[in-house]
Amino acid sequence: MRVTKSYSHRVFATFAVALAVSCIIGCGQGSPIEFMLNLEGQESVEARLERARSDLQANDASESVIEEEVSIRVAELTQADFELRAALAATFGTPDDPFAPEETGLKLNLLRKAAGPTGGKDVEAQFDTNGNLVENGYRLGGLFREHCVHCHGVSGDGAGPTARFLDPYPRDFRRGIFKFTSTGSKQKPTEDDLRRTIEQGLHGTGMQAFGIALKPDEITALVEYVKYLALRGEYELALRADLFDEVMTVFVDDNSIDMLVVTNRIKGIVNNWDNATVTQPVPRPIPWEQMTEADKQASIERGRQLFENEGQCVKCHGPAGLGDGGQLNYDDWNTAKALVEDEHERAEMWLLPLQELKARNLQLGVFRGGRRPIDIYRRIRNGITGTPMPAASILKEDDSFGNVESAAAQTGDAARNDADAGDATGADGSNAQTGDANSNAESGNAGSATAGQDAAAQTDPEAITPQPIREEEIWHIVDYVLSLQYERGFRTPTPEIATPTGR
Amino acid sequence: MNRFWTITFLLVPILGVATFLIAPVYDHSLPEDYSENGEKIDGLYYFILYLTGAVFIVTEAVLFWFMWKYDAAANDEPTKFTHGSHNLEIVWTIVPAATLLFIALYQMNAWAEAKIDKPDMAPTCKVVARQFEWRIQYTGPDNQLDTPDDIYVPPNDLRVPVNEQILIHLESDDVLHSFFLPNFRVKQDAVPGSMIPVWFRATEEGEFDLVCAELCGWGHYKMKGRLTVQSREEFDAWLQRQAEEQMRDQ
Amino acid sequence: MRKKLTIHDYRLWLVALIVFALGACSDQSRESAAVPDKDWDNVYRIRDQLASGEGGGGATASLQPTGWATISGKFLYDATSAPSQAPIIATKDAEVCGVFNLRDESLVVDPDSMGLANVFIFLRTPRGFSEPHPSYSPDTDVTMSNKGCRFEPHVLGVWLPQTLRVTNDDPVAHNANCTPAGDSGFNEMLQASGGELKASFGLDKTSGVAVTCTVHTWMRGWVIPRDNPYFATTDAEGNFRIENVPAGIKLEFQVWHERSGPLNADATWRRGRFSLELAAGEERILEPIKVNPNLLNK
Repeated sequence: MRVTKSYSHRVFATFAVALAVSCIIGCGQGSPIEFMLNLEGQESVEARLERARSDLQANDASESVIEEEVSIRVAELTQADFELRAALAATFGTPDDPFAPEETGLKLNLLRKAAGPTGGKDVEAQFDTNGNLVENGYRLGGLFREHCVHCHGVSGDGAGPTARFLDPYPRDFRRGIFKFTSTGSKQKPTEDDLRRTIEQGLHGTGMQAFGIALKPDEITALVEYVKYLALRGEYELALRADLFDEVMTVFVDDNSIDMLVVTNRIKGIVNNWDNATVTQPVPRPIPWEQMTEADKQASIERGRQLFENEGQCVKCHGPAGLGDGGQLNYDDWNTAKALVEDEHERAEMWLLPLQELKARNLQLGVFRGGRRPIDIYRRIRNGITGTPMPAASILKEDDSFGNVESAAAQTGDAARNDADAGDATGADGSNAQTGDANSNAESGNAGSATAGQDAAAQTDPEAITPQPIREEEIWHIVDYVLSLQYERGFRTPTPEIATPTGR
Repeated sequence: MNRFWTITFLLVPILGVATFLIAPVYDHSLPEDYSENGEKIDGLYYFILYLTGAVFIVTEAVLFWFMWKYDAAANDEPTKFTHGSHNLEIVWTIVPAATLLFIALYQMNAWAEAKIDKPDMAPTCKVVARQFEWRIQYTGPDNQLDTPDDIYVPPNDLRVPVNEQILIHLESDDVLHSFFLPNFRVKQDAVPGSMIPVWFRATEEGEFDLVCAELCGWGHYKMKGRLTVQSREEFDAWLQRQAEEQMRDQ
Repeated sequence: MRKKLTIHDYRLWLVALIVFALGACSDQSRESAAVPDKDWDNVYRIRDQLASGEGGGGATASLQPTGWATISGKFLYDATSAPSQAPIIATKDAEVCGVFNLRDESLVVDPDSMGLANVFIFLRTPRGFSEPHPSYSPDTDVTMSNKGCRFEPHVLGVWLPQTLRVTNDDPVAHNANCTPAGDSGFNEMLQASGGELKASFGLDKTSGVAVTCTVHTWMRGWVIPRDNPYFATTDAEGNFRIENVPAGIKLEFQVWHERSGPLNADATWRRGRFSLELAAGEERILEPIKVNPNLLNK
């Protein structure tokens, strides 16, 4: 009995270890790495069929009609699924064999440098059956899978193995939305923007700086590959909508494809990228080099007023800039998740759990999109794409607010005599005061307008009607935001550690 | 199979010593030292290496001699037991103790220069380690850190002027890291919540490694920076460019 | 005699090892975008045609309408009583928004006529269809205003060449955030009492794109960019009317509602669509379309 028992133990142990080892080893040698379909938040085929069924039931359709309808739908969806895969593989290739249609303007040699398995791989030249060279051999560089994939995922879905431990989540490229750009509100980034993000990282997030670790040409290849994944992801979403909801088809007959479905969507997407224009900030009211310490203080003070009143920044960032003024919010990658209340349903529909978004605590001195004044300016001027942060409301030339403002300027003129122009009106006021006759009337007007408001604020704080901000006034908010980190808390020196062997 | 284990054991000291002799040929020895203080640290290192090396060789030789002489296959003499030698035990206790005491006293200056005698000067810059990069900010004209005139430079790009005393304030944002400049014999843990000063003086211009020497997470291996040692003029020009970039508004 | 399984028992560790190994192996159920091997012929065919620029489809003979007609109708909520709209508590700027008696607008039914409001009905652009009727001008702006801490109108169609103005009539600042897939959208601060933004769309949609306000998170409106001007949103009584619709060609209309997506109000409709053809000058009034409440139970 005893012998049998120990024998069975040994068999069990051997079996268990063998199984465990084979499982672990087997994991390493799966099928080749492929892009994953973007099924996040998409209605599954089963759900589509179920909805069709319940809709028909609600309309009192007979059981045979329902069955017939469902079988038609199954055939349609199967065909759509096949066409989606074929069109995606045709237009953008695979992770080990990237391809890009001419319309995208992507350079294949750069993509190949970034694509492929870690450590790179040589691809041999291809010959047709007659021995003619079809394609030269080349090398896949494997950069993306070496440096980026554990967070951003093979498909650029921002759901690599380390993703769920990060806050914020790594960028999901597939929607083509990038937060920190130099371009206009809600526009695509430029290649320089992507390069800067890779080189310098995003402080306060899991995105680290690669500027030293990678060579410039490697970063160029990765920028191209990120753009490739973004275009591919956007195209997949557009194509999916076309094929699954519009009942269009890629193959019009056995021999040709529908160019409208295949190329026009790509052109539309690429167009958005090509149309992005860099926002050139207006000059500061007073050039930085010429600002005295008093000017700077006045600018910060004016910035505080704009932050609290006209700019409405306090609504989310709170009165002290602690990021405590807003409501529960989500970025564009999480808003759809938030609408699904059931946690298990969410887990089935999305790769990563719901993540809240808080307004930035400006006192920390951590600025994700960069801490140069120009960076902060663009964040305020154009908002942050993909987040609730809106573009500032800027006074436009043809705006009806112009009238309101000149009215305010008239009443303000009287008030201006009392108001200490040097302190509250900020740089503009003092600029007007220097008596520079050429300083355009507009700026002088506006300066006194703010004086008017301030005077009004002193008499009746409730009477302030927030106005759009003049574009150069954004610089005051920039100065104020940058000054917040020194106000309290974060910028107190960290204590020096007691020397371990102090003597 | 005669004397098989004896010969095998002899290989241990031979290969061990050979490794040390060959290492410099393949550039696996200590990295080149370009710091002022590194000489003393290297001196300590080599002193201890040679001391332990000599003891190692002697010990291994004795071990080999015993194995050779008393090999069971070649001896049929019965084993003899002793109760030990009191004198011998005193000797092999006192000699190492004295040696260790000597090392402890001998290294005090090197340690003090590297870790205790902080130079009385304004900090050059502040290095903040975070997963997985080095964020660096230089003091502005006011020679103070964390003031509005600080110059923030691209992460991982640490630069210092040559032949000048450098004082770095080392901090960590998240977990334990270790600031390691192999060519300057500087290695110091960065501890969250405290600032630890690090100082050195570079004697040669060039680009050198800055790495993390404390396992700090999954990205530890890529926490790689670069230390560039430049002439004062080049350094000033670079810092000036960074300062302009720092205040860029157009 | 059977020993109790303790943490020191190696069997426990072996089982744990197996569970771990199996767990490490089971990948997330993510569907690969790969094409089955036998279908790679199709992939290369698409590439060839893309490179040569010669595809089928696309250019169909242009359709000329024989004249213009009008279509109107009414959506009814097929129940005996109107559903109640849940109240919304203004959690921000309560002193302004709290007075408006805000209510959930995802399903609005007129209790008297049982008309279903905010149903969006639109013409799917027939391939080869060229010019709309001249009474539709791309120069007329459409406006969605922030009024009483809600978007007015709740559902708004926008013809692509038109400009969308989002205005703010409230004495409190709002913003309007809209992110249509594949299009840029907008997200801008709207100053109190008169703030305004202008936007246009580049891509047409067949379902609503949400417009939200970051400051007041309950606010939600819908815009639907269309590449033709033939669309309407039902009014409070559920009525809609589209004028100068092309006659003499087969028209396919689609119906969308916030709760249902494509609204299959009739058993013969698929994906919320129905087809008909109008004669020139015809004034077609559709039978009242009864919508089963089950279709609108989100």
